[in-house]
Amino acid sequence: MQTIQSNTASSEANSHNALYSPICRFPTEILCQIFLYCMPEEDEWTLAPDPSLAPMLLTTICRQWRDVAVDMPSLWRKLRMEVEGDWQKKVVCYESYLKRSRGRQSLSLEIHDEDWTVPRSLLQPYLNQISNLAIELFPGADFCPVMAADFGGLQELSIYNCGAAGAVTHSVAQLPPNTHSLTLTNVWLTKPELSGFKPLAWASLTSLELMVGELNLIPCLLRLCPNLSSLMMMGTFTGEIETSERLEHTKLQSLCIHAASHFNTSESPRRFFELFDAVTLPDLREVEVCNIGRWPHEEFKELLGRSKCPLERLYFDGFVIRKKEELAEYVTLFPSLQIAMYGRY
Amino acid sequence: MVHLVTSDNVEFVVDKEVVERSVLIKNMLEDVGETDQSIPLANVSSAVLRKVIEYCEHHRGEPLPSADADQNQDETRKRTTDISEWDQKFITVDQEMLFEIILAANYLDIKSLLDVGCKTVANMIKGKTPDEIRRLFNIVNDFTPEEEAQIKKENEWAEDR
Repeated sequence: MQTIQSNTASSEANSHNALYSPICRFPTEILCQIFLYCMPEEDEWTLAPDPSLAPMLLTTICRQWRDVAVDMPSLWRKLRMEVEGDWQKKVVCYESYLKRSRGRQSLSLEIHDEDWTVPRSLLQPYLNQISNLAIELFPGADFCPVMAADFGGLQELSIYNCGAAGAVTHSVAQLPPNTHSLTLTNVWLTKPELSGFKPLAWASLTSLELMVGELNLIPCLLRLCPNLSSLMMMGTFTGEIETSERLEHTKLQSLCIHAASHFNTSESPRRFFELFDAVTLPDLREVEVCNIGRWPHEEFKELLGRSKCPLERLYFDGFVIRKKEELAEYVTLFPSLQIAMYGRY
Repeated sequence: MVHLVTSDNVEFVVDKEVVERSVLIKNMLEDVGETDQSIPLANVSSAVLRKVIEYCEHHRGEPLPSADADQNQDETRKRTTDISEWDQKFITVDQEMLFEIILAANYLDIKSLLDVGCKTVANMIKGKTPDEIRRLFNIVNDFTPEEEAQIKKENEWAEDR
């Protein structure tokens, strides 16, 4: 394509179009605006490249439109790759996205099998340009063949695991130095797995969302992520905290705990009071809890006193047993505190 | 009041607040100060300026979009092609007039009107095949056989799905 773009025939053909089509007389900046509005809206980005949609559609109309569209990196910055089946045909299309985006690529990988050789060689020249990576591991994949550490420019990573349990642990065992956000869905890390990570493996993270099976995992996570400002955990939170030493985490501002909704206090009450006993959080501003059962008021109050933190917001959702007097105490401690309650208790 | 003279030599007298929705005219007025002299708009015909003034009058007093906000929108691509009911009725014109309004909005630097025009064209493109788009806008398929082959190569796997 590029070899013939500059020849005389090209300019003749363009002027031919300009003669017949008023839209082709638009200056490039107007065509660019129109093309941006042609892009699928945000929720349609889950689609793989589709010739019937922009940006691919725009390259198939005439030479002028193709030249303009190909020269607009912002049209090509989101790509969903399906890692399965016949790669030879897909490579041409995927490569055109990667080339045209000229960096800052958001890549979504749909992984159906573990053969990563061809996709990896395709991505190799662009690994440092990919800033956002979303991986969906489908049933049938026993392990995730992608290693986060390979993507040197990665800032945000999210993994959705529908494959085997433990299939992605090795993928996130080391994150690139600029990765600030990690979201793990349906990934249940264990304490031995986390303990096996290098001490600074997750040091760059400021935002973490993940599933937690054992309560004891939380101090381990806080140690692994000293720069974390937002921690969102969902899970069962079983067991107890095994730590002799209290942990101070100076950066954490937002703590969100969503326990599984089938939680029942009469069976095995969660020991969240141990969590509040085990940490000091001097920058804590926001706490959100959902379905945690009995609210460990005394331990939380002690945490606040010990941490001297600037608490601003407290949210209760679902099944959380707390008393009005307890909430009043928090307001006394923090007069501008916002308290929101969404649950029935 | 501001006097505007179109390419076909028709003079319009417009409220300053209305006409200042055009960043081009606003800057001109700021540069020259109060004047009774007409501003020539060599790129805009009277039929088009009438429509542009109608738009500016309807949106009189609304805050002007900042250049920064627009830049951010381009970057994040969270653009929507929704058009308000009034704007939609306003922009329901024949294709030639639509293109002239877009060109005038671009020349006069009226960002919100340019957006309405571009969104309208984008909505005309969406959901159509390449042939339908060419027919709609009278575009000649000027690809060489080599280019056609390249496009086919880029698209064929997706078409096979």
